[in-house]
Amino acid sequence: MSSSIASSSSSSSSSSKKEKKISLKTSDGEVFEVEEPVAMQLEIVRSFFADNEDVTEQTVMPLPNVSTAAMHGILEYCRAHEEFRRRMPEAAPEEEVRAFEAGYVDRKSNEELKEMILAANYLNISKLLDFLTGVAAKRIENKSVEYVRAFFGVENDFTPEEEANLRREYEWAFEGVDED
Amino acid sequence: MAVTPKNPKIPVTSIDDDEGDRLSSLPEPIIHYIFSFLETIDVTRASAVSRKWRNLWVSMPYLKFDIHTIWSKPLERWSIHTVIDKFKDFVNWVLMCQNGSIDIEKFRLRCLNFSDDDHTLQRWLSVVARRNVRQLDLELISHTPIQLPQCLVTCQSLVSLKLNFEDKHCVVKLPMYPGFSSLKSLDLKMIEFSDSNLLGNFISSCPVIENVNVEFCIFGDSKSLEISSTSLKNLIVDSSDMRDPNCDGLANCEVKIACPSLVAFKFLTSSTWKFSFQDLNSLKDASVDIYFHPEHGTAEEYHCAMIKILEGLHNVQLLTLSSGFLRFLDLAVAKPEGFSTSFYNLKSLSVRVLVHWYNQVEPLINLLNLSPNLEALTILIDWVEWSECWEIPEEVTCSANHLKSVHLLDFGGSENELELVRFLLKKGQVLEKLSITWLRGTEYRRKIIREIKRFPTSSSHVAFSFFVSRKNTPHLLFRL
Repeated sequence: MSSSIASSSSSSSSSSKKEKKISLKTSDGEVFEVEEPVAMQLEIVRSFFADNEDVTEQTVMPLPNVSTAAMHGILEYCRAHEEFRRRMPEAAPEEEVRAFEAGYVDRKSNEELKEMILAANYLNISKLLDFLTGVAAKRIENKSVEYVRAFFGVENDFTPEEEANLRREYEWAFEGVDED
Repeated sequence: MAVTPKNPKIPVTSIDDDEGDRLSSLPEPIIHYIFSFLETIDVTRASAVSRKWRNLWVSMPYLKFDIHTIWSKPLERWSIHTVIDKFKDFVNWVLMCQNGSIDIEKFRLRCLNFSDDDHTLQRWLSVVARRNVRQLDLELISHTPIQLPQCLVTCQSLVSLKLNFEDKHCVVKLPMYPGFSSLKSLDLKMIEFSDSNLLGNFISSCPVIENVNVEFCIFGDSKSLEISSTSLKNLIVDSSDMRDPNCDGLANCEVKIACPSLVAFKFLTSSTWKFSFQDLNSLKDASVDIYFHPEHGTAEEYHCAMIKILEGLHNVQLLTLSSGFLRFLDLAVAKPEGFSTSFYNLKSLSVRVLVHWYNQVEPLINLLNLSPNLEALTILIDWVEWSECWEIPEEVTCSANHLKSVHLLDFGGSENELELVRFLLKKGQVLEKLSITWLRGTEYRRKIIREIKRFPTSSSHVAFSFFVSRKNTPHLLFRL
């Protein structure tokens, strides 16, 4: 599912001198070779390499909290942003960034989205975390209680009476929600 | 518009099987963070999700009320009066029941300013001021002037204030006495000032103000707008697109800017060209988009105005100019003594150019010659139907000693554009990168690319990149 952006940025690297790569190992053991400027968008990686003097180019950094699937999503985003930065250092093409981001999350299910939020949180990529949590908010906006429960995977621990009372008390809050 | 999941993998109704340790159940701080983006009604509704969430909304420091989206299709259900009453009721109830000891991080309100004798808005503002609100974002429709209540002016926690009157300009009475002691950001949109001195005085009186954004505001028949502040870092004044055709924003008043800490400055206007800049020694990034209206002045006057503006901006590192500028810069070529300012610090220049006349391109070359340290040049190509075909004479010089990157946007591959590319490739001795973003619908792209590749280059290595038209998901077509 690699996008045109991700693939073009890797092909472009062949034309310049050999780019430095950083190896990142996900929870399920897959090793990703990531171009340095892309990997450095992951704050946890940046500080790992900044703080440890004994790491070399051969060091494989383990990321036990990130699955391979989430890593693909994270890298797609970071590579696209690196490509934007490289193309137009003087002025970020905002509408293009927005168009990319919209297309990028459109393809993600709720479950994939949450997995990426956890990964972005762990890897400490604040820009991506802000963006993804904003998307999550959009998805539950004006939705029914049942939808929100399912979205977060929260168990309903109210007794039926309690819930009925609560809904009666806050009746107006339950008027006019969107279809799930 | 809500983003709907295309391919939801979680079953919406049942979540109880094998979910002992769901990989993706989100930790509480993240859930709170997600809720901070939501309207207060959504947070309130979430109290029925589970016991743990029951009182989440009571301590939520982000309050957002929007009468337009609080219920879906409200006017199919209720009359407008009922909707307004229900909305007021809801806001009142939340402010009453929330834990008053929790400071409000952000209060966003989008509603109508009710009738003349209705003090609801003032009351809400006094409640949030008492709860140490930090960011206040008001989007209102009002037919009567609005006065900021004193409790807000003296509110020491307020860091950011946004006032936007969506459809109709509204008179806002700014306070005459000092206040807003912590205010850093001020956003004003669609506001009518009876006297532009009010705004100038107001900005000067905010001791720590850093960002000011004034969009589509009317300054009445004032003669000048004077903004002077020692703390101001970012300033945007945009009166380019006045939605009301009967008003012209700055209305030809003189704009005086004296801000020694100003770093970024953006000015868009079609209604004035009288500027005076003082003490802009920290300025790094300037963007000026001025439309010179033929009725407002003579070419000679515009030429002088433009020179004055450029002289005021001579320290900048990033400069963005509209094509209106280049139209009058060519007069400087005829009278070289009239313009001698150099842009020694300028690293990045972005200009909009009408390529159909050489007298738009000549001033661009002139500008390059005045910018000896320029590294990046972005040219937005403007189009008109008809075009004369020109060539840049052989004897024209261009000092592009540091120019590394050239980007042409909306490139259609006409003879004139190719001539400009040929010239830049010939003069750019250290050019590393030439990027072209195609104009939508440009044909024969391969042929154009072949032609560009055949141009002689002075630099030993130029990387060419071609990008598809803007307003699309970016997509790299070729790399040569």
